[in-house]
Parts: sequence; C-alpha cells; structure tokens
Amino acid sequence: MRKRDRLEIIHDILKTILDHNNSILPTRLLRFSNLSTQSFNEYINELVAKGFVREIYDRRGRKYYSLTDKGFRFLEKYQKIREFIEEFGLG
Amino acid sequence: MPRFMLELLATEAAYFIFVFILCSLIHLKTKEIYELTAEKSVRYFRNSFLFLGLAYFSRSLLYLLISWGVLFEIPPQALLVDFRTIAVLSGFLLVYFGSLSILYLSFSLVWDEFDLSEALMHLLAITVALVITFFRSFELLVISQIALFFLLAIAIYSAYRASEVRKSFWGGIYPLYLLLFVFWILNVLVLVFRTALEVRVCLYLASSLILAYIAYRILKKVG
Repeated sequence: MRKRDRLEIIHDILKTILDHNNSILPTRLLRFSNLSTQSFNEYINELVAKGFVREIYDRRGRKYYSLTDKGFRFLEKYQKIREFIEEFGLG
Repeated sequence: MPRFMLELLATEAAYFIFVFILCSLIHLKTKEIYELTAEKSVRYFRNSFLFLGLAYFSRSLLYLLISWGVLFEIPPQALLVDFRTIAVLSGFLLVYFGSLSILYLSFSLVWDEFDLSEALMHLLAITVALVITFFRSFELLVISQIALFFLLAIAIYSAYRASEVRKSFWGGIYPLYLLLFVFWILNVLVLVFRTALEVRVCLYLASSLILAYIAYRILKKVG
C-alpha cells in the first residue's frame, strides 16, 4: 500500500470529522485515521494550533473535534491544492 | 538626450515593471494555498517569484530614476542622488535577489530529500552578491548565475526522477523553469554588453512571455 503524504493525512483526518456530522470523539478519529497514537497526536495538535480543527466539550465534559471555517476551506480546495502541487513539481 | 535613449529607458522601465507585477501576482495568488497547507515547498516556490520580482525591481528603480531625470531634462546632479551608489546598490540587490530566486526554486523541488535552511540560502546569496560587488567582476557574476542555474537543473532532474506521476518532461513545467532562468542569465548579460534596442526588445518579449505563461498556469490552477 502506498504511503500517504502529509497533505493526504490531513485531508483524511478532516474528511473523517466532516463525515461524522462535524463532531467526533478523539478515540474514534484515531481509529479512522490509521495512524499511530503518537503520529495522530502530532497531527491533531498541529491542526488545532493552526485553526483547522477546534475542540468542543459536551455537558459531560467529553472532548470532540469539529472543523473550523479554515478546515472546511481546506477540504473544499483540496483537489486544487493537489493539482497545483503536482503541476508545479512541489510534491 | 537623444530620442533613442528615451525609448531605451522607457522600454527598460516598462519591462521591469511588467515582470515585477507578474511576480507579485504569483506571490499573492498562491498565498491561500500556503496558508492552507503550510507546505515548505509552496513557501519556497512563492519566495522564488517574490525574489525574482525584487531582482527586476531593484534594476527598474535605477532606470526609472534616470528616465525621470531625462524626461524632465533635469541633470543627474540636481536629483540629489548619487547615481553611482544607486548603480552599485541595485547591482548588489540584483545578484542577491536573483541568486535567492534560483535557490528557492531549486529547493522547492527537492526540499523533502535535501533541504538547505532559509538562513543558509540568504547567507549564500549575500556572499555571492558581496564578492561580485567587491571585485566588480562581471565574469564572476555570470559564472555564479550559471552555477546556480546548474543547481536548478540538477534539482529539476532529481524531482522529475522522483515524481510518482510520470508525465512527459517537455510537456510539464520543468522546461519553463529552465527557460525562465536561461532568460534571467541573458537579462544579466545584456546589462553589460551593449546591444541594439531591437535585440533587447526581443529578449524582453521572450522573457515576459515565459513568465506570463507560468503566471497564467498558476492563476488558472489557483483560481
């Protein structure tokens, strides 16, 4: 199986959140992301820090991940971004 | 001042401004892609065009100053500007920004295999510019730019070999990168060798067309 690059992994994480009605528990997201716990933590922390994903808490204090506007924009533009990177040899 | 000199200065100014606008447009239009991806390669790519634009701009500054004096028949002394200092400064900036542009484009293609820190790129470009300014050696200037061009050619070869989606080399973007900097070197050469205005105009048109085509492809992609 081909190794996913950084952008594909970010896309897959964001898409998983979107596919779960824009609200998903960390453990479920980890399972769907097909990453090691350490890699997953690095990616999700980066996504939160850069404003693609936000953490929300329910009444019982459970943490969920949800997309921000920037996260939606990334998904919307993902195909264009990939084409741009491929066309200009930046991959 | 003879009429042909006015035409020469106007042509130079128009050309450099056109190139600067295209480079700025590329830099600005790829901003969103960089913000969304934070990819090092995209950052290097944008910087490459930013510095190429600045290299041309540093030169256009000199031509515009001279043109302004000529057009209004003001002797250079009255402009309160030391033209020799500006010429040396713009020459230094031309080499510094030009070298940076080639370095950034080269490493945007191979950053995942071989990365040079941005600080080192700046240091290398400053060293080249300082040496050339100090020795006032045109030969060194040409040799440095050709050496950097070979670095770009190696980066292109390496990126093409490593690419997963193997397309025809000649149909892709790589020949355009090479042409862009072949014409950059020719642009450097005509600064020293006196050439007929017609030859310069042909060179400027060809350089502008290549850059405009790259800009068109970028703008078509990013929307």
